[in-house]
Amino acid sequence: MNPSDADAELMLRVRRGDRQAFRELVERHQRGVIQTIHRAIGDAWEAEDLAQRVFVQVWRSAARYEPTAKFTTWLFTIVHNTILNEYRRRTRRGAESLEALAQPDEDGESFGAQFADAASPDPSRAAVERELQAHISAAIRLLPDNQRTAVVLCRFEGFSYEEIAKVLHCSVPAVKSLLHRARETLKEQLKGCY
Amino acid sequence: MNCQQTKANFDERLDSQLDAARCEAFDAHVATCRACAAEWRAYAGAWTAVARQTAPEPSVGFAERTLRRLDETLTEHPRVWLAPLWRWALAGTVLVTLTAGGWFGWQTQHTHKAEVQAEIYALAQQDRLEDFDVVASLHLLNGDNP
Repeated sequence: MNPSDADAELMLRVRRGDRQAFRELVERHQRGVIQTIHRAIGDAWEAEDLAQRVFVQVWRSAARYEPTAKFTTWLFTIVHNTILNEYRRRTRRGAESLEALAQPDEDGESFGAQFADAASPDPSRAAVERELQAHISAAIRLLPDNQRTAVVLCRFEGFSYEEIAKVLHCSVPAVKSLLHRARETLKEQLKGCY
Repeated sequence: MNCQQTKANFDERLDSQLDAARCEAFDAHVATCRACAAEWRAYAGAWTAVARQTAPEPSVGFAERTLRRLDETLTEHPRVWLAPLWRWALAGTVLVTLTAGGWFGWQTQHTHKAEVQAEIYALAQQDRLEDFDVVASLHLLNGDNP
């Protein structure tokens, strides 16, 4: 059974109120969901909080899920909308500017800062790597919402143009345009990182 | 493939969307054109850099906490009234109420109109109304412009 069929079967069970099936779905997709949200908002704890909301929404919306649609497309549509709602909430509260959101956490040892080279024996190399990570994260977070989602889904989740189009409710040519503009921006922002 | 075509294919090349022939033409042009090679290096380099971004792994017990949160949410907002059966029952009740209300309203209006019409004819028969008054009254009753 391919992963997509397995997801569809689990969702059909979730529709019938099967909590074990729901738990399996969470375990299968928690990584992708948490990391996608983290790439948008930057805080690990908040990313997990929002990810939980996503999965609760999956449970609540189970009756609306159609097995003909790929589950990950449906799931990441909820993820994208959750991120947009979070941005709007922060804007309404005037909490932080987008630029501030894009700044790295001050405490490099806070939860979630489990980067590959953090435990490197060479402190200066670890510091350089952290700085690079911060720079890349900021560049991605500063992209317009739809461009950022297209980049994250394409680069990290392996979505096709068609799948991204379904998540963003746009056409495939529009997705190509979003990716092109995002890459042009990233090319400028990440000079010196490649 | 010329420079303009090569640059137009940057995204397809990055996303492995080019067929073998166009891929070969793309690579051949980039190998010989310094300007396009530099542009391509920057474009592809940024995309490679993006892939280096790391993100946190889910914390231990995330699934368990999510299930607990689901339980809390359902306890706070059982939303029984949104369950499919209740939704259908509510929709059906609203429909029946509107239909019944509409029918009674029409009945009442129709009965009233018939009564007024009968009164007009009765007055006409008693020679208490001129013919043109009868016609005008009936027009008014029917909402016509006399």
